[in-house]
Formats: sequence, C-alpha cells, structure tokens
Amino acid sequence: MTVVRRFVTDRWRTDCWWALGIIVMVVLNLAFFPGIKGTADLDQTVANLPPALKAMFGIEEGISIGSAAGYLQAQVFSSVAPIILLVLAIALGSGALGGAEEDGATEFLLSYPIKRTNLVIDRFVAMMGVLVLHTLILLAAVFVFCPMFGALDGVDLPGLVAACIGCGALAMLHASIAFTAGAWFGRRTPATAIASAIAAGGYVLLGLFSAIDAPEPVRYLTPWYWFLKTNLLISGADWMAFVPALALSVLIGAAAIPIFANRDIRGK
Amino acid sequence: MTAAIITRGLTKDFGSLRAVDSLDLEVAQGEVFGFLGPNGAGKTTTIRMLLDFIRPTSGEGRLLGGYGADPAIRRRVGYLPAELHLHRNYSGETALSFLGNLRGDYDAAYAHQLADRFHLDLSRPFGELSTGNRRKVGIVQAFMHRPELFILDEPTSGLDPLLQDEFQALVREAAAGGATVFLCSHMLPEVEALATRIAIVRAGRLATVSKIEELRARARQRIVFTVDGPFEPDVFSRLPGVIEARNTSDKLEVIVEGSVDPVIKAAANLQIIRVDTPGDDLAEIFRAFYEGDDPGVTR
Repeated sequence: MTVVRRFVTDRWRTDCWWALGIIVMVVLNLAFFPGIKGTADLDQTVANLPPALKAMFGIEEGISIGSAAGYLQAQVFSSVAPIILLVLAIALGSGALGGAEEDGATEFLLSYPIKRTNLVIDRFVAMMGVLVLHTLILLAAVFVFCPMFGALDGVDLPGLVAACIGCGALAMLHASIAFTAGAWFGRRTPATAIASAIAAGGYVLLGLFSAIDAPEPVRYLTPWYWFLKTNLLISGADWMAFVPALALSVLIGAAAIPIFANRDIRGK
Repeated sequence: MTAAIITRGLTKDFGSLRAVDSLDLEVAQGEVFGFLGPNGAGKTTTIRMLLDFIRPTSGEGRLLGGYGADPAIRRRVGYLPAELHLHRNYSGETALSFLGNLRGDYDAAYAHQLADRFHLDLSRPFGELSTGNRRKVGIVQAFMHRPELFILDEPTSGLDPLLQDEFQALVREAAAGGATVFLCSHMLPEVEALATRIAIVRAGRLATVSKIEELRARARQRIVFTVDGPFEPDVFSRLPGVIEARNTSDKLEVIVEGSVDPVIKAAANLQIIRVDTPGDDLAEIFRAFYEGDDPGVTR
C-alpha cells in the first residue's frame, strides 16, 4: 500500500492539471454546440463523407450530428476524450515501471524489503486508480457542463456512463501495454512508442476497415471499434465496449510480473 | 558463526564484457571489510548481484545466511548507493518516512537524530540538494533501521572532512554494536581508516584479500634523508632490502622493501638534518594492484 499511496501522492499536482485539461476540453467542445444544434444541413454534408471518416469521427447513420448524442459522440467521445485519456494513459503506463527504472528509482527501491512482484502489482493498481479517477472526471465534466449548453438532451445517464467507461477502458488497455513494455525494456521511450503506435494504428484501422467495408470479425481487430462500434450515448451499456478492453488490460498487466521479476534491473 | 557475505564463483557478463569474474569472498559477521578497486572494476556490479538487482551469470552470493532476493534478508541490510535517486520533489522528511514505512519499522526519532548529526535539513526538496546533502540522506536511510549488515558504495564521496569524520564515527559505532560493514570504494583512505581487512578487485577479478596490517608490513617504504655534507648513494643501494637509492642535491632517497633497519644503521654515519617518509606506503601498494604490476609484496 505504501507504494500505491506514494505513486498517487507524488503526482497529485500533475493530476490536478490533467483534470483541469479534461474539463476545459469538454467545455470548449460544448461551446460550439448551441450554434449547431438542430441544423440539418450539417447532416447533409456529413452524409457525403467517406465511410472511413464517418467511422473515425463517430458518425452513425440515423443519429443527427445536430442532436446532443450525435454531437457529443463526434466531438467528444470519438475524438478528444479518448485522445486526452490515451495520452495520459500512455504517459502513466510508460512511467510506472519503465520510466521509474530509467530514472534509477526502481533499483534503489528494490534494496528495500519489497518483492518485485508486489512492486509491479502496486504500480499497476495505482496507475489504474489514476485512470479511473480521470474517467470519473470526464463523466463529471460532461454531466455537469452539458446541460448548460443543452448538450445532454435525449441522452440518459446509463448511456453517458457507458460512453465514459468505454473511453476509460480503451485508455486502460493502452496504459497496460505501455506498462508491460516498460517492464520489458526498463525505459520510458520504447514503452511510449509501442503504446502510441498501437493506439494510432488502431485508430487508422478503424477508418480503413470502414473504407474497405471489412467484415464484422475483422473490424474487431482494433480496440477502437469495440468502443466506437455504436453510439453508446444512445444504445446504452454494451459489455463489448469495455469488458474485453478491461480484461485484456489485466492480462497484459499480469504479463509484466514474470517479465519484471526475471530480468536484470537497470541501474543509473 | 555464518559469514555475513559469501560469494562463490560469482560471475557477471554484460554481453561480451565480463564485469565480475569468479569472485570468491567471505566477510565475517561483525567485520568492517573494505572492497577496493578502480572505477569499472566490478565493485558496484558485485553489490547489485548481492542485492538481487541483477542476476549472476554463474556462481552465487549470499547475505546473512540467505539471498538478497529474499525481502526478509534485505530488511536486515542498510544499503547506501553510490548515487541516490529519489523523486526530486521529496523533502528529506518525506523520503525518510516513505522509505521507513516501506520497511515497516520507521523510527522517526532516530532518523532525525542521525540527520542532526550530519546537519541535514530535512525540509528541503531532494532535487535542490547538493551532492553532499544527497549523500547525507543516503547515509541516514541506510543507518536508520539499525541494520545487521551495511553495504555502502562510495559512502563519503562529496562529504567534507568533518562529516567524513562523523561518518567514520557512525560506522565504528555500528561495528562496535556487532554490525557487519561492507565498504566499497575506489579511494584507499576512505577504507583504510575503518576496515580491518580489504579486498582489491581489478577488471572484475580479485587481486588480493588481506588484513590492512599485513599489507602495511609488506609495503615498500620511501625514506628521504636531508643530509649535511657529502654522501655516497651506492653504499645504500648495496644494502639488503633496498630497491633503489638515489641522490637529489642534498637529499638521499631510498626505497626499501621489508625492514628499514640496515638503512637506518647506515644513515647513522651521516649528518642527517631531516627524515621524511613521503607518500602513503599503502597507497603505493594499492596503486601497484590497480595498475597490474607486481605489487612488490610477494617475495
């Protein structure tokens, strides 16, 4: 617990800035909604977009971009929200083991009576805790500020919660990739690079699979599809949107245990 | 009584580089043991294997009858790294209480007492501390749980002479209390003042293990006589044990191995104004081990 507590206290200032960033991002995006609300001609334009872009922008047939659900999905949940959470997640994941080891902090910590396995578990739990916190902040920001711009009309709470959890789960998946890559390399940069490449690649594949009209099973190859397949704000809770991502996060995180336990630690 | 540290054929390769080569060491409980060698000789690599940061390529190292991989063993060890890396925002206070709680038996009063001994301000963030002050934080955390075994890597580098004395006093107290001290350094004086036995490593290999007094007894000595009047260096070169005798203006310089008695007797015939024994005899030996020459101690 000492390690978990330390991890969280060490970064509370950083986390305040991230929270502020998430809130500002939500508010800035919502600010444009009153001007767009109810306009049908935007749907005309959007309808002519290639399928790849529609998929990547989270635009779904039958849900107007001028509606709260359509706008939120396009402007927040399929773009800035996952991106900001992913950036945070990858920074967290690559720092938790790889970065700490690169900075020389891990080696010294291991001179204390702490098992490597426990260090990995504690850091993983702390990292996931921080991501849960920011997912809740995203939820709170949308929930609190949307009504001011009428951007929550027709969206019920379960749908909103589902979208936030889906977004958080996608972030957690990539955090655990960065985490385990960090456990493998003992450095921050390769962990960041691998997780970022997977995140960006997944997003591109999402568009590509739409463009080539790939069969459904193929589309599941990108984790972005799990979360963006349907507009969760409308359809509500869908276990596919977060259960696989969360399960995979835990599996990938668990892989860090043997990797880290059986390796020479990098000194500085 | 089991040894505090035992290594058997301890070897570590980094790629094609053999950093530590079949090291056999035995440090008795309660002993202050110096582990000396030039930078890159494998001293820190040895420590890192003992504490299970890295795994030996072959051989093994044991601490306090167990292995460094066992947290219960590491709980009884106080480790001072050559360079301490802590979060730069931690104050000394935060660092010590975090580390103390990590070990689980934090004695804040004793930690503060140690900090006071070294005039360490615990309120300042670690990132703003000088090398010397960081070292003090390292010393305090290594000593604050009164461990049975100390593993100290270059403990006094960056400390001013007064604090070096304080550190030596602290080590002596710990040793008097029965603790074992493994003192690792590339500088002889740091170790000479405390250790009863030293090992010298060079290029990953053990060059010698010996008691300080033994080394001293076997050391060459350099004696410089300032002489009034004429003298003949050749008289001295022919004496037993004399390696070299030469004159520089009014000075006669003699390098002796073993007993200096014949030289002193011969010098009695001269008008001696002054006698100097410059340099540290032990340092000479030490340098010889470092450089890989015959140290002149095996006859």
